[in-house]
Amino acid sequence: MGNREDNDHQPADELLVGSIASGDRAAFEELGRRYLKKAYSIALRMTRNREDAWDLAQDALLEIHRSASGFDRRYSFSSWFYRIVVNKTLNFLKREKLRSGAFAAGMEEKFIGEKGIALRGGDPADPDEEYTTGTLVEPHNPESDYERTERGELIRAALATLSPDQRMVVVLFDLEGFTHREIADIMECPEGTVMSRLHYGRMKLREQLEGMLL
Amino acid sequence: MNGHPEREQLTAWREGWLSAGERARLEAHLAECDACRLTLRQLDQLVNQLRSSAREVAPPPGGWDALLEATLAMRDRIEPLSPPAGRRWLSPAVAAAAALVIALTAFFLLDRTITPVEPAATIAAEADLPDLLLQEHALASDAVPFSTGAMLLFAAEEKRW
Repeated sequence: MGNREDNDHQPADELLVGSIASGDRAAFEELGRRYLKKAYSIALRMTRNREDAWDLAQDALLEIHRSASGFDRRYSFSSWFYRIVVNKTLNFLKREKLRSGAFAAGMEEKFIGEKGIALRGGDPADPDEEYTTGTLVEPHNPESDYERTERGELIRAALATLSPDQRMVVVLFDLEGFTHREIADIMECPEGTVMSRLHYGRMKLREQLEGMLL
Repeated sequence: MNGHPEREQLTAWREGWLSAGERARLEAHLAECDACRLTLRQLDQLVNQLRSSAREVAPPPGGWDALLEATLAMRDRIEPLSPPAGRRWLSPAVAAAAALVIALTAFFLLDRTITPVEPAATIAAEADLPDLLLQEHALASDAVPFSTGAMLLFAAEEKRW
């Protein structure tokens, strides 16, 4: 899991956390190089918004700076860090849901489920724009051949209809390549719960995408 | 296996999470159940689509280094974890001041213990002092010495450091 590189003559993550606790800026920077990208990636796949992903990744790493002295070195740093990323992201989504109400989510689900409308942000030709907050685009035309990016966008829009917990498991397992044991550790839940969330998340995705992709 | 398996079992089978016994039972069921085989096939297709669409995310605006630099800048603005060098030298100074006050207080109290204060009336009778002076002396005898409060204050201060 993670980007531990201690077998390549690099200091282990856990050693770096100890240095961070002593105020070592270089150690903080090194852990940032190892983990920020993955943190941003998880947050972006969950929120579909680059600014939010930026803030969440940054906040997770700063949490390491704040809490380094409390890190228990018997445990893996990567699990600890990804737990912070996951918790911050899930809390963010809960706050967002409370703030915006169920309106947006309801609209997404309704349009994808009933009319085959995908969500897309920004300029479709710009790959950097694919994760911005969604806006409605034209209804799906079953006669068209989907390009890879269009298919990907449909999948991302369908992912947004899953519950945050299910979405997190699908993102971590199918998109980010974590094992189910690692996910159980990160999300602090039994492996059976991971299996269940993954299964029902996938089944819901299959329903959402039926007739469009399969 | 009687009836269909729990639906999660299909995912568990696909990912290789079942024990040998569970796997054998599920495979025996799959050999006879078109519906479960179909669900499994659809699950396969979905996962393949999902994974093939999961390309690496695009870097944030300004690239990965910009994100790291911004995070480092924020880190530098956060209260440092250990006391900064400027405050460390104060600690012995505060301790010395506290020790001095404690020593003076102890000296003062000891001095008062060894030399008992005579009742104001006795003093008045012996020295025939004016009433105003007697009142002042009586007030001073009843007052809580300042140094006790100071000692508590410094004890609390020491705990903080």
